[in-house]
Amino acid sequence: MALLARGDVLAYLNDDGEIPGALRWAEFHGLEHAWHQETLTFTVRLIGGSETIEFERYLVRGTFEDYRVMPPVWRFFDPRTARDIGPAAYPLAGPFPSGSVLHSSGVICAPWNRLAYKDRGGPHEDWNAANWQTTAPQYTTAKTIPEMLARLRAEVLISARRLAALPAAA
Amino acid sequence: MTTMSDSKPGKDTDKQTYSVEVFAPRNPMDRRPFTWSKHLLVSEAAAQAAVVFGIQGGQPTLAKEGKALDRTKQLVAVGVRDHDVLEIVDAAGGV
Repeated sequence: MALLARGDVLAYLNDDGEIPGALRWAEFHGLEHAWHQETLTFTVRLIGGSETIEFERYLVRGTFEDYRVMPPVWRFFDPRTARDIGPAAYPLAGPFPSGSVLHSSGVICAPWNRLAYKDRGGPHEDWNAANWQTTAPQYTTAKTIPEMLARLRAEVLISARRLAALPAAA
Repeated sequence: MTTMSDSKPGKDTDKQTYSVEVFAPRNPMDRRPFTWSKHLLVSEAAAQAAVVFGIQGGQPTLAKEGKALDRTKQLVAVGVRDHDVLEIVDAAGGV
């Protein structure tokens, strides 16, 4: 059951520093992206390193139900089909200076990702999603959607490969 | 053909301050100028910039061409150069 009315969520998302900012950010960096207000999803394509081919393509999507009471749901998808294929959609953590948010199990492990919390299958039962902006101050902090995207891009750029090979295309 | 003025050996290495532009992810066109000692720590430079953009908390760093710079090193040591355009990115650990 939703905690916030859709109109309230859209009011937060339409703030200049949120989805409008995410659109500016993606356009500035020349990244293919899409915002679907009907489904409250923002999708962006990123490029990472590869050990076997020129580069790896990634598709990351944020879903914003109950934003900003709850953090977004950030998940990587199959860059060919946009399907949920688990860890193979994710980049391997690179040498991010203070530690990566890319968990080896295939989750973006940050307080600003709803999927990092135990009740949504993540590793953190010590974090409280209702206090996501303050629940883990010693960890990565990103309080707006453009800040989250900038962190994800910085991580993907230094990833050496995917967590696992993409499955054969159907 | 390379002329004397083109090569300028030591031009960048001799310079002690870098004039750069910094932006926050929410608006890459809103760039603010900063002039920093090239020996300033990335963490200190990023903290100064974060204040200007109203970014609170976390461990901000600067990113050059999208890649986050090590906060514990000096600007010159991580490849920042005069006239660079840098983005503020959170650098605190995950997982």
